[in-house]
Amino acid sequence: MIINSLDQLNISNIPVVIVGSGPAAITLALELEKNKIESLIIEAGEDEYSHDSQQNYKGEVVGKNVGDDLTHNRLRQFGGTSGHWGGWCKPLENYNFNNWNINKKDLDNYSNKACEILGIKNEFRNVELDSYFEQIEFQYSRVRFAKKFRNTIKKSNYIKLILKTQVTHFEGNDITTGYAVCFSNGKRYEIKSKYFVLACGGIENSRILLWTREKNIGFIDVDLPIGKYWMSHPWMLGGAGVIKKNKFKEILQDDYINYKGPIHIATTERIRKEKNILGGSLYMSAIEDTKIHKEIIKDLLCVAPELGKKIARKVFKKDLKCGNIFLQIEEEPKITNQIKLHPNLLDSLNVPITKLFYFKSESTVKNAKTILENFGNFCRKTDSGRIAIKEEIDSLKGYDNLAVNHHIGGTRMGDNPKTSVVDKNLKLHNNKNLYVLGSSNFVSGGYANPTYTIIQMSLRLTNEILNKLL
Amino acid sequence: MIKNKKIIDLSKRKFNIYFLFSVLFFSIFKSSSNVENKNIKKIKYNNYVWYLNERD
Repeated sequence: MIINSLDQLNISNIPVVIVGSGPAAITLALELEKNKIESLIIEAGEDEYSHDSQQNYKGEVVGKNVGDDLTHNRLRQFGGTSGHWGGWCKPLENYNFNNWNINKKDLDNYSNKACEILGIKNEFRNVELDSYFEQIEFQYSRVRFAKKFRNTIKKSNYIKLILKTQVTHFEGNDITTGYAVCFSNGKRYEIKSKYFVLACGGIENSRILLWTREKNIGFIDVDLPIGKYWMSHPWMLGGAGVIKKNKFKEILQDDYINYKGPIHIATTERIRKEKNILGGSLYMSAIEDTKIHKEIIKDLLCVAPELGKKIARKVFKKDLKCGNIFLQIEEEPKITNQIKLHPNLLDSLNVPITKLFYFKSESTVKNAKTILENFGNFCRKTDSGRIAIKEEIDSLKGYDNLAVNHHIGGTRMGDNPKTSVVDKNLKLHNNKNLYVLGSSNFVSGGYANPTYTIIQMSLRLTNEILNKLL
Repeated sequence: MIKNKKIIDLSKRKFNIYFLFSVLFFSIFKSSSNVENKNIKKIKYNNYVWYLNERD
């Protein structure tokens, strides 16, 4: 049911209050509904995109790594950022969980359900090309959560959704969260519940917790590293080149992953260990742009005339893939990359806006060069293509982030309250009933897009809450 | 004395053969492992660095 006013509800008797209405929140509410548990979803934005609402996401960025004011990479509306996401899905790899207090298996139990929600196949193959690289498989979801689940939520007797209502903070005593403070239609409400789930995305989760701590001295442990270890996975144009798909097929035989979409390559454990780098993946865009083809072939004819002639003859054959090479690279969590409350600037409800400190790491460009250089050598040695690396990366001068779309960390999981914010069940340390959900919980970011893992975590949290309620 | 001398000579010969083979083996191994690196031709062009083979 979509409600227009909180006055329509008994706001002291809702079992689960969910702040935010993105993929994590909707998944949780739908699963609770299946078990006949009522929930209230509180969304600060409107039903669809609104410029005015979006401006509330304005923040200040320190460091030259993001390049905007935080209004562009997320959506403040029903369905959250799934309203404009690319839909790329892939689980994190085993090694990504090395420093987590759960392992991949804990989330794999929810893979089938996650794929069902996202409308994708549960097929994420990895096949080794050589000791340094493997071909990997993404699935592409077309689900816009608001569009897909609007009617289900409208008709639901168990899910209540209120829009244009902003939760500013939580209040409570000692270790119990008592109520969420929110503003709706210009009025202040205190919403009580047994369990609260903060699921507002990789920036707002930290901001609301930081503001909660500031408003309630002693309620949230001052040592919790809220907002810290914030990261993304730098997405950059690494180079360009040509790839002969038939050579890949020759190497991989029946294991070759043949599907619509870009060719994705990822690093193996061996290259990560031998070259001391973090993981990364590269892909050649699936878009067949003849302008780019011509430019690359023209360059190849200049630098390698013999090879260029051979390639030019094949350029319009389906076997040859020609284009830009993009990279998504894992980033190390750093305590200095963090979200803070702005000391001077406030939003329309007098809550400090976000001040994000996010700096480029030297190791990222080194990792990018190592991956590209070794992939270039693989292509050269096996004659499966030739690649060119962007000069600034090859000379380790730097890289340009194409965008910072994936906001990771800030409320990381862990057992130690000095280095983490939530426990393995996503419950705030030293608190009985406040959970945090989303990519802000990730301890490491991997190279894969985070939404799939967020859905798995949401399904896992549903079990945790159901165990307590039923 | 003669017996002893023979033994010493034999061990020297063995050592020399072993030494020669080792030098030969390592030089062949080193040169073969360098073949791939020697074949790399890096060319900077239009803000990109191409990773090519010599024969390209």
